[in-house]
Amino acid sequence: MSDVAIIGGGINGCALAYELAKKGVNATVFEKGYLGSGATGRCGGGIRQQFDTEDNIRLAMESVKIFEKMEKELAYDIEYEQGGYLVLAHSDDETERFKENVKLQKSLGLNVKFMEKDEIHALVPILDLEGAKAVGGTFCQTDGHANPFRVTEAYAKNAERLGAKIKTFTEVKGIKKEKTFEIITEKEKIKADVVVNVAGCYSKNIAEMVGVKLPNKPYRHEILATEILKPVLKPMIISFTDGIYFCQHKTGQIVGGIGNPDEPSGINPSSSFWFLEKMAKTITRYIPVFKNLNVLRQWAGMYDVTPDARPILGKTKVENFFVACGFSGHGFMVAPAVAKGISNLITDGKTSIPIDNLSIDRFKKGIVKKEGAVVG
Amino acid sequence: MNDETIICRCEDVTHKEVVDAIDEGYTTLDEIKRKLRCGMGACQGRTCMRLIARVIKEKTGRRLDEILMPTSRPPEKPVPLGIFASYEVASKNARNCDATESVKHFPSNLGNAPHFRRCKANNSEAFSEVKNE
Repeated sequence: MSDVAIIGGGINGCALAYELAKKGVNATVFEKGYLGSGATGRCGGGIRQQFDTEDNIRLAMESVKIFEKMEKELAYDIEYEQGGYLVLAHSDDETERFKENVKLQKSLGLNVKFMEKDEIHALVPILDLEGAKAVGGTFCQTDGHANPFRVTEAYAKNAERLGAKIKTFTEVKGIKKEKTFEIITEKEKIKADVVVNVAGCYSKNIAEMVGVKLPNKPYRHEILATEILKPVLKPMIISFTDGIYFCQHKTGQIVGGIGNPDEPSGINPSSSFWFLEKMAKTITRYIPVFKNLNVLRQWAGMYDVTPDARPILGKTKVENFFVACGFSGHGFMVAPAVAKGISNLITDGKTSIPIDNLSIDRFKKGIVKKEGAVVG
Repeated sequence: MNDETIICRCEDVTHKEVVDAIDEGYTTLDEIKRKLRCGMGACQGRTCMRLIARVIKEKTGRRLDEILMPTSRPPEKPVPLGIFASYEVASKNARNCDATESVKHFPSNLGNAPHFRRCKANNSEAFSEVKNE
């Protein structure tokens, strides 16, 4: 018997287990592989607040507040760095749009500004603005990155210390809903009062087990890591026009990805040569000296994408069945705030974390404001 | 082998660190790789993975053939971004084929390319070369 069954042992599942355990709730995480074996462990580790929808900006800002104190709270080195995010604009249209975004972000309290080319050059001297065809950009210093494995482990260890159970290599095969839920795995059946679906690209399948339909679709996104080198790049550089993002991690490697607009939907963890070539061509255009930098490996992970590229958080039509999924590539960065919000919803029925507008009901009403600031 | 024996030379991981990780409950190569970074360096696990598999075997009693190797990621060897950036042959066919397939289209003399060089664990030296160009 468990009060809350959490399906998915990525960053969102482990963070939620920690927040619930902190409140004295008996939580169990079910993870089919090892912790972080899905999207969490495959992501770039970026933490960005520069979105263009209010809900995403607020959620990411709450999250950064938690990240800033996380090493102390969880007593763990998560390799967190607030090197900032530089979002490049490539045209007058984009500049206009970004200036609007900055207005919205500033009105919500984010410290962000539009930068002209000379300011960008002073900030990132190795970036070739001509090669990148950039005309300006926005910069937020409190954006940054952390090591996804370490953050997941920090949450998991602290959750266990506070009494949560974590079952790795335990796949959920079915969920029975009677008076309470019964979680069926290969080894056992465990009853739970509440179920939270945080299964990333498998969320849709898990939701179907209790008759909840999710509009999410999985898409492959690829990424690569280079050899390590001394610190040369402070901020994360991203471009919505080129679909590229890259940064230098604390351990020294450059990690980044680029999106393929023609990628078909489906679960596909394989690596493509198309990506390697496209990424190499684009990143060496942005930073020509990287041409002699060795690529060590490339891999792929799944974005769990919703129709408006914003997460689906909270209650569903099935009582006590909650979802936190559809992060559309931003699951790592918002996880700390989402975990707080969902844990409050479970224990108190409400939360001060701004997730009310992100419930699944929004699709019924037809008010869909699509998040435009998606990359990778 | 003693506590301080280096098992992963790229990331300087010792025998004791591996043993401690196993004691902590990380008993697969995938988990140990992600926890300690062994196998993420220049050699991509060619040296350390078999050694670590042996430590897991000794600690857990599992057979070596039950201990799965992590997925091998392309490229096969460290390759400079500039080589891929100047690669013109890739046709539209490469777009959706997997990397193993596309290796077939790849120049076989890649290892002899003048700017191909062995990657160093800490590449500050290599980078100063880059900067001097």
